[in-house]
Amino acid sequence: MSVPIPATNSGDVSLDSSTFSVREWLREKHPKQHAMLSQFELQLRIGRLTSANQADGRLALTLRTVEILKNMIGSTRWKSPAQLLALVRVFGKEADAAGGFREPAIGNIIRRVLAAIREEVLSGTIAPEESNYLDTSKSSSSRGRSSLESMLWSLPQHVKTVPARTGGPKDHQRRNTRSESLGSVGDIMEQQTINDYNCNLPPIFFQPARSDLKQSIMEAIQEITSELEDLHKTINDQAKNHIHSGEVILTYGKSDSVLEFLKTAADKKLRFTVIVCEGAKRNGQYEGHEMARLLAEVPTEDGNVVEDTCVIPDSAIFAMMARVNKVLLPAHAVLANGGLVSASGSNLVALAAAENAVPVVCLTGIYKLTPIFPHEGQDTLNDLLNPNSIMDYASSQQHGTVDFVNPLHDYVRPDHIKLFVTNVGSFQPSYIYRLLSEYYHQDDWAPF
Amino acid sequence: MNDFDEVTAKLQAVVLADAVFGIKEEAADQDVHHHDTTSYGLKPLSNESPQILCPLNNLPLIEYIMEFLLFNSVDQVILVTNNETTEIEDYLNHRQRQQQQQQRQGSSKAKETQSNQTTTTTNSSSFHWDDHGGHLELLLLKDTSLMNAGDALRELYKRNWIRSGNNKNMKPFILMQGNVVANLDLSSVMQAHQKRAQQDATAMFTCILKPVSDTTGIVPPTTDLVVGLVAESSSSNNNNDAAAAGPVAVAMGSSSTAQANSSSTATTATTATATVMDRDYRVFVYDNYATKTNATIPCSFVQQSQSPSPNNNNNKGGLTIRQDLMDTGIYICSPDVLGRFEDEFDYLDIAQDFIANSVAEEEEGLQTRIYAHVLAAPSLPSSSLSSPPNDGSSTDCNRLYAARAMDFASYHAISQDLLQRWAYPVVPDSHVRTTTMLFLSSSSSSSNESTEQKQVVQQLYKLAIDHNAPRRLYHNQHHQHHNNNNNKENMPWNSNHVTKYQYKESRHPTKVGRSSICQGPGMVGSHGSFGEDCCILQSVVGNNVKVGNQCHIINSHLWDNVIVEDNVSIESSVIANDCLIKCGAFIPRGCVIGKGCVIGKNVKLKPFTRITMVAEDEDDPFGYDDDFGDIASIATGPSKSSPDHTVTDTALVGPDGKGHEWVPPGLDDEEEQEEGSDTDGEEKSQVEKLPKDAWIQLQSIGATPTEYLRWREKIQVLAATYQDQELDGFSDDENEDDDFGTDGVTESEAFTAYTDGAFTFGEESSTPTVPLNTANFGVDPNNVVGRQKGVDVVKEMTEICMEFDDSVFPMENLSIELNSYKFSQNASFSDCTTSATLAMLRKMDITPDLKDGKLVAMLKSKLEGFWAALLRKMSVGIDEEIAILYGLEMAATGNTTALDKKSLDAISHKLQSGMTFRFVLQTMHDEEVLSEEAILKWAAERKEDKTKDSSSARVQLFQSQPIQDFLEWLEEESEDDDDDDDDADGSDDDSQ
Repeated sequence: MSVPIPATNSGDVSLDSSTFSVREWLREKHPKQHAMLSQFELQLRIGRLTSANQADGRLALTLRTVEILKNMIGSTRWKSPAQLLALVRVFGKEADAAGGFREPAIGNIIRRVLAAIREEVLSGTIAPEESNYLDTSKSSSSRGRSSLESMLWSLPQHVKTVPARTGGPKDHQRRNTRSESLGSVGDIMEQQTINDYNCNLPPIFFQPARSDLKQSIMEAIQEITSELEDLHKTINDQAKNHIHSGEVILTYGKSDSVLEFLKTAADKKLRFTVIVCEGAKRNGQYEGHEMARLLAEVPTEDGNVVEDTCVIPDSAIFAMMARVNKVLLPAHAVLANGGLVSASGSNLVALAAAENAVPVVCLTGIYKLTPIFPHEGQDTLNDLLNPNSIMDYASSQQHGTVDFVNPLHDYVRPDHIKLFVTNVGSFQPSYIYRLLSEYYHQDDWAPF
Repeated sequence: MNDFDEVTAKLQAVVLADAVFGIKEEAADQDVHHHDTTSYGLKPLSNESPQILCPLNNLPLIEYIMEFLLFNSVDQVILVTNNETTEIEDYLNHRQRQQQQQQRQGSSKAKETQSNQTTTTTNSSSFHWDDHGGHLELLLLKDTSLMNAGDALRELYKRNWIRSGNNKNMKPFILMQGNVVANLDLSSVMQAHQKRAQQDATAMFTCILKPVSDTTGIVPPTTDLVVGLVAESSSSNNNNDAAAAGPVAVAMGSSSTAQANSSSTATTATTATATVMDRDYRVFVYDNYATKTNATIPCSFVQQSQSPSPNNNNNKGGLTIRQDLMDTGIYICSPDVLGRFEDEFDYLDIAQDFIANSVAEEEEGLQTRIYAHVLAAPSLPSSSLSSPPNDGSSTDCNRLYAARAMDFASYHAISQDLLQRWAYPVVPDSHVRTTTMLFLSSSSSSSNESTEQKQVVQQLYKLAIDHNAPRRLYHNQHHQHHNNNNNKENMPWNSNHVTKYQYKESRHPTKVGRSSICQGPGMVGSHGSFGEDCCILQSVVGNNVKVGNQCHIINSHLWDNVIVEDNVSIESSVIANDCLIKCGAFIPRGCVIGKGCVIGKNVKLKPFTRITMVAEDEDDPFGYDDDFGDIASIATGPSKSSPDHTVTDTALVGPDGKGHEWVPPGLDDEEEQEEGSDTDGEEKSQVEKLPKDAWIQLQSIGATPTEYLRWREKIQVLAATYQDQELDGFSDDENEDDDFGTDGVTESEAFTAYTDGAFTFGEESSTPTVPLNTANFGVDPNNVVGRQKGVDVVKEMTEICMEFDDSVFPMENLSIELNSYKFSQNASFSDCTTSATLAMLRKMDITPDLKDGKLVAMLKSKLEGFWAALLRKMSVGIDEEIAILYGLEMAATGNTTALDKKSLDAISHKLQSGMTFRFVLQTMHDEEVLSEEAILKWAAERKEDKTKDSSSARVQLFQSQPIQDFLEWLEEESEDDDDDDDDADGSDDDSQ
């Protein structure tokens, strides 16, 4: 069934879509990039990079991923867009296998890059084909095969991958969203190999890359990078819309986004109260304590602090909820159905808020948007950490057969969330699926 | 190699991969004078395949080790094994091929054939270990002659594989046992080690200790480690460092907390740096003998821990004695450690010999300081509102797991710990595994005939979700459909149970019958199938395992390709690869079924049975132990030495079964062993021995240590009464290699207490404050414990010195030679110095008609060229210097057997004549070989002798006029010195 990939003449090692060959290709042609990939993978695998362990968190990790991708795309000699896609996809696959599945942001940003590549390849074809019409016809007549193929590809059964000639990239991405978005992506396992994946590609991907393609892809990636870098700023710009003077804000756990958001509000000379739930103990410290300290002690550039900060134990959340005006939650991942995966205990907050009709607002960068449906309920994207932070190993042994469970995340249902405040605007949970098709290509949704 | 690591030197690690390296075998050590524990490791399974390849939670141990080493960015691993099979090579080759499936297939094949060719003898081959980005160079050192860790390290030293490097910044290497599972981050420990090593070259060994509780399964009840620790943060941090660390830390703190007031960050920053050093201690006591309830702490420990260090800023000399620590089998060593092992050729085990001796050893010259890092969470203030972010130790809290699979009990405990995620991120669901599975094409019961197919499978384990229940990980489930089953009515999991920590392979999941229950902590591999109405609780089930209907598998481990037929009950057992358990069989707790065994229909095994297919002697690691009993039993037992056809004990496994019971080695020749250990034979016979069965039981899953503890108590009572009866002849184990050339009064007193009167002190030892050192002179050499009978130590050592060419080789070589001989015969440094003195005199070719001046000149040149340095090195205390005097005296009086008659006559004649002895003493004194103190002490001793027996030759020598003159002069001089010291100012004034 699969479409054979044209030979690439890149020496002994060809860059086709299997993991092994990509690795070999990198090893032979680009040892530096190979070493970089290895290093990244190793660090992911042994957990040095997961945000749970890192002080500067997920955003830095995501930026690092983009950086490596940029390097890999920029300095390797791939011959065709299909090869490039295979390369990036293998990177995603490897990162995922090495433990990247713990950090959905990595997969998301790779999907973003994949979508950007597709877009650039296709948008590139439109302009030359229409402007230099004669030129393309000449080339197609000389070879014949590609023009025949493009005729084949334009048949209805392949319609979803044929470049849209009129609407531009946005339009092309929005095709077929409905059927696929309802499908259960989570169930598609690794059986869907990359070869199947590549057979859906239009022929233009198998032709040698245009000379300016690399340049334009790099620009697209640069855009992603700068978007990530300005992330907090763009989110914080909306602070004034959401926090008003005299309000009581409840937040849970420790998060850079929430911290910056509240600080920005403090800079606007708003007087509001922040209630911080102490959350779970991680690495010997209660996250909430740390969060509260950062809020109340560390001043912003303008010298403001959130003066009215208060820490409560998690057991008091329900009791305090009655006087709260708004709940701010950070995100680990935003799921395809508009649900939220956040720090363990968030569901408790969300349920208490729902009971008291307090709006729950989630602050998140759009890079946390994950094309996964919560088929596993509370276990979606969840992980169980070392019980060490809740119980010392030696003393745990004295508790006989008692099990110690230290979950990392909670899943919050979409109907318990009022709004997602992202760096590209504020959305209701019901709109999330639209964003998905806007940022990722359909074919990249499947888990790596 | 890795481009990023070019700057830094390669980090090496040594993995000692065989049970025998990690475990003290009773038979291996003839000098054992206590009721040693007998550890059987993972036998008989480790006989069938190398222990390092035994699966733990469906992953060979080697994978855990390599991942641990990868995490600690090790570049080169040296895997030492004494296993004669090629299985490890095969595994590595296979893995290599698997990783590079398309490329380089030919080359790895070539490698494989190469390694196959050379497997018969000592062989080493190099492999690459690639794993999801990580890359290790793996050197395999395989030598079946290696018997213990000491041998292995000596072999490494010979091969010079560990860069010893002369440069100051040499990296330490990681030394670990091949049965360790750990998730530690060693970087901070390594840094601390390196820092210590730079300041003090003797600080070459850091061991990692983990706090555990008594009830923990990961520690066998037989190991009672008592460790005495002195907090090292005080003494290793000298002022410079503290000062240097201060500003750095402040800079760190101020960058993280902008504009915070500097004073508060400064104080907190110092505490932050302290936390790194916080858990590092110097070890002063290391006592890991079982069957002892009392540990003896030498006085020096208390003394040293309480002496305030001059550089002590805020920490007090912290003294801790802990018995809740476990040796994790991971050590950080400087390359010098190998040299130390080379010196001490009788070191067998790392923990028991090297650490214990180094800790007890107090000689300055050869001291090895042992440090320990105790794994503990950083102590953070409970209220973190006032504390700054502690970035450095943020990952520490989660990386505190290390344990050794020493026997089946600890194997099971580690497995459970991993499943319960104590070693996160080393958890079953951490990443995709690529494994190769063997599939039998025909699933008939006769597994040998079916053809095998290899297939590469990608596996991803996931925490299981029970689809019969609402989708929560931790929830109570109501299994209504079981209620009609009377059989299960009374089972605790029936009505209401929790699915916890149950892992399932998700890519090719094992099919589980709808009415079966799988409950964690446990895991289920791929490609298998479970029938209906099974209860599989807290068990680890491998790949391609077929379980029939109505089976009960509890607390057990089923390795790959096991077939369990209907109605089988398995409890707390380990079933190795390819086993077949037929219908209705009952395998009670503690059983171990070896590879390929078949348990027949309706067979009921006894608890704690170990069954194997491998004939005993085939690759019995005990075979090469230098135990004569073993060899004798091999020679007399022809039935055993028939490796090609395995014996099946049909009474045990049923008429349709395969396999026979594994009998622990040495069970038959227990008596011989007792006779062999001569010193405590009579003592041992008083205490009834714990049967070997009990040892096996103790090391199996599901064992209760009650019997053992009871036995131990009994032994202690007996030992106490025995000690009361007679103090003589019972010696504690530590003394075997201890050196008694100690320097301090308290030290020797400590040893007196320590040894329970192991030594009969010489009657002549006139200086009661130093009994041990003078002891050797009065004591019949045969009485010295640990010395071969009829050996004249001084004579032998003199021979050694005579054979040594002092004009060519450096002094250190001779020192090492003497030292090793000293250890082997349990001699003292006093013996060394005496014999060195004798040898020196002999080498001078003294003739009776030699002029005194010539003699002095010769002596001077000898001393300056070589011997003074040696004697000074050997003289760790005043007693050794006195021993030099004894040597001179012996030579002068002709009262020694160490020299041949002719030369002795010449020397004694010369020395007795006139002023010669005085000149010799004077010269030695001038050369700073003999201190005034020593000479005066010697003189005092002789003065006392004079009153007893005035006719002996040495008293006459002592009383001769020149000597007395010399002593007088010496006394005056020392008084003068004192005077000078006392009123130096005054004398200055006078001169003016």
